[in-house]
Amino acid sequence: MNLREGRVGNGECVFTLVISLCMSGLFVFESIDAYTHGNSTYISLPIACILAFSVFAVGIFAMTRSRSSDLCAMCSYALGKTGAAVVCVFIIVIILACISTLLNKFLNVMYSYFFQDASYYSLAAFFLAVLVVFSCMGFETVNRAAKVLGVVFLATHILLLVNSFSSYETYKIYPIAGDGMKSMLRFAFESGILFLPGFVSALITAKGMHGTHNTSRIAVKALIFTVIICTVTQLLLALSYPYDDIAKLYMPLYRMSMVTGEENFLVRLDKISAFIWVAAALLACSYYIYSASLLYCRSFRQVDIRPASCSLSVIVIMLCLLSHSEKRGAFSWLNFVGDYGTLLLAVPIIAVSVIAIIKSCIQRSSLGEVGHANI
Amino acid sequence: MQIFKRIKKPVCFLLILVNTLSLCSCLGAVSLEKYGYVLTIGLDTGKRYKYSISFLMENEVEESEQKTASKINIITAEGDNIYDAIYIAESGLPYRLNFSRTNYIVISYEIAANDEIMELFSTSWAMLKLRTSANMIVANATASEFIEGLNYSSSVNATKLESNLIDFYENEGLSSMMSITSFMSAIESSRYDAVLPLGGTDTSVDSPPEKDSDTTEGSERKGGMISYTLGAALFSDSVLCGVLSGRENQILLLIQGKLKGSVIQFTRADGTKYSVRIGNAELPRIKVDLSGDKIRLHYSLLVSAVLEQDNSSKVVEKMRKEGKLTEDMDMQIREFLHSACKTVFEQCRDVGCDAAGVGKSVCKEFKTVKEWEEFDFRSRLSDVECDFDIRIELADIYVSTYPE
Repeated sequence: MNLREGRVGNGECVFTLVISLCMSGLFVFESIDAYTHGNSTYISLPIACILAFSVFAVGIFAMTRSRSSDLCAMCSYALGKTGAAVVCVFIIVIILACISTLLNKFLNVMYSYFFQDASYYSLAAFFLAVLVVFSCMGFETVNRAAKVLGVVFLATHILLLVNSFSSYETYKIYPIAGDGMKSMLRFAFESGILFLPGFVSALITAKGMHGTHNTSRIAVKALIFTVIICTVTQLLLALSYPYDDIAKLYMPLYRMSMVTGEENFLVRLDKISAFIWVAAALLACSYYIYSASLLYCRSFRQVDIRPASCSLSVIVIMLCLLSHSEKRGAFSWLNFVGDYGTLLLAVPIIAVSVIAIIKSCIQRSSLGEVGHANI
Repeated sequence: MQIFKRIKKPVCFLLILVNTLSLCSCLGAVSLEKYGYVLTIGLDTGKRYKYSISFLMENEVEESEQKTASKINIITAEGDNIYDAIYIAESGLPYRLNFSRTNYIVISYEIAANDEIMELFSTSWAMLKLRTSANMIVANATASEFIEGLNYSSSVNATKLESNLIDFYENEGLSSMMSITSFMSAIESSRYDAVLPLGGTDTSVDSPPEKDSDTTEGSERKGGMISYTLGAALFSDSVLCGVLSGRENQILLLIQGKLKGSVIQFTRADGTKYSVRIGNAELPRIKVDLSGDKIRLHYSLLVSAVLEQDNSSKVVEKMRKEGKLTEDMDMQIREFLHSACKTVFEQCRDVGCDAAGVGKSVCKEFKTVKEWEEFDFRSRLSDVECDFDIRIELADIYVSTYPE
C-alpha cells in the first residue's frame, strides 16, 4: 500500500485546515456577487463557516457512532461498497470544482498583475507541477509544509492589515446591514461551499489525524481561527473600501496595501503577500487533491495514490484552462457549483451520516437484544 | 563525533538557505541606463490627436569639479491615449520610459473641466507600473506650461519638490493634496468629491507683470519657480466645477478636520493687532438631520489657537495668567471662522462639489443599501444646509511683545 498517509501532530493539521479554509474563504468568491448590494461579508462568512462546520459535525458524529475510521469507511458502512463508490465519486467531482475555482483566481492574478508577458498555459503548467509533487508526496509532507508556511502566512497577513491602518474609516462600512438580513443569510448559505471542501477533507483524512475524536478537536480549533481571521479581514476590508468601490475590485485584499496612498517601506507588500498567498493556495489545493485521491483510492481499492493524484491534478488544471478560455460547458458547470455547491456537497454527507447513525442504532439495539437473550 | 552529528542537520539547512540566495536574481535584468525615469506627467488637449502628453524626465547626470547636477528635459508627444503617446515618445529616445518614480500627474484645466479625466484614467495604471501614491495637480493653464515652469535655476530636485508640496499642505494648508488612489476612491465612492491642488504659472518672476494673471494669486513675486501651487480645484464627480483660493482652502481643511496650522491676523477695536495660528484640535463632530425636506448638518468644531504675535503686552500677560483667550478675541475669531466656514461650505455646495464630505456622514443614517440608494444623496447635495458651532481653545502663546 502506498497511500502516503502517515501520522502528523495536531499543530500541523490545524495549520493545514486553517490555511485551506482561509484561502477559500477570503479569495474564492466574486466581489461583484458579494459586495454589489452592500458589504456584510464580515457577518455572512463566519455564518457560512459555522454552517460548513455543522455538516462536518454531523459527519464526524456519524463516523464515531459507526466506528468508521474515515468518510469512505462510513459511506461503505451506510450504503455498501457500490453505493459508497457512487457517493464518493460525486463528492470528488464537487471538490475538484472547488479546487479549480480557487486555483483559477490565483492564476488570473499571476497572469494579469505579475507575468503579463507569459501565457496562461505556462503559468498553469507551473502550478500543475507543484500540485502533482505535493499531492503525491502525501499527507505528512503537506501538513508539515503547512506548519512552516502557516507562520509566514499569518505574519504577512497581520502586517498587511496593520499597514493599511491609516485607510480605515468608519463611513465606508455603512450601510451596516448591507442589503438586509435575508440577503445576508442567502449569501451565507451560498458561501458554505467555500468552507465545505476543507472540512470534508478533514473527514476523509481522519485516520491520519489520529482518529475521529482528535479530528473533531482539530476542526474546532481550525474553525475558531478561521472565523477570527475571516471576520477581522472582511471587517477591515469594509473599513477600507465602500461597498460600491470594492465590488469592482477583482481581489480587494491584493489592493489593500496601496489604498493608503501613503508611501512607506511596506507599500509594495501587495506583491510579497501575493506570492505567499499563491504558495498557500497551492498548498490548500494539494491538500484537497490528496484527500480527493485518498477517497478515490479507498473507494476503488487502489493501492497507490500517485496515479490518482496525478490524474486529479491534471483534471483541475484542465478545468482552469477551460474556464479561462470561457468554454461554455465548463464555465456554466463551475458557476452551477458556485451557486448550489453547499447543497450538492452537504446533502450527500448528511444523508450518508444519517443512514450510518440509524444503522448503528439498529445494530446496537439488536446486539443489546441478543445480549439479553443470551442471559 | 556526537557534536558533529547533532549540528549536521542545522548546518545542512543553513547551507541550503545560503545557496538559494544565489538564485534570487532578475529574470530579465535591465541596466539603469536603459530607462528614462518620468518624474511628472502632464495631460493637455492635443492639436492633431486627442491628447498631448508631456513627460518631465530626469535621467542625465553631469559631473563637474564643483558640483553634480541632474539635467531635466521635457518630452511631449500626442496620441489618442497615453499608450500611443508613450510609443511616439519612445520612438525618438535611446531608452524606455519608466514610471516607477513618477511623483505628479498634472492635468490641464481644459481636460479637467471637459470630463476627459476618466477616459484617460480608464487605462490600466498597473500596466504602466505607476505609483498609486503619485499626487495630482490641476494646472490653471496648460500642463506643459506648468511643467516647464518647474525648471528652477540650474537644478531640479523633484523629490524636494514633492516634499515641499506636502510641507506646504501640512504646515500652512494653502494648498490641497490628493493622490491617484484618493482621487479614484472619491469618484467611485460617491460619498465625497475630490479636491486637487491648483497649480498656476507666474511669468513675472523675472520681469514686470503685464496682466493680472502674471502674479501669484494677485501678489507680485520675484524669483523662484514660474510654477506654483496655491488653492484648490473642486470636482463634482470627475468634472472640474470650481476653484478655491489659498485662504479658502485653509477654511475647507478646517471644515474637513485636517487643518494643522494657519496664521490669521486680527485687529482689535483699540487698533492693536495680534496673529493666531489656528488648527483643528479634534475631528469635527457632525449631526445630521434628515427629518425635513432638506439635509441639515450641524458641525461642531474645536479649534486650537496659538498666539504668535500680539502688540499688547497687558493682554498677553492676562492670557498667560488665565490660560485662555480674552472674551473679545474669542468672539472675534469665532465670528470670523463662522462666517468663513459658512461661505466656503456654500461655495462648494453651490458648484456641486461635496468637498466637505457630507456624504460620509449622511450615509451613516441608513441601515440598508436599498434605503441609501433610493435616497440618492448626490441629487440632493444642493439642498444641504449647514451651521457651525465653533469653540476656540488657547493652545500656547509664542509672542514677542512690544512696548505700548
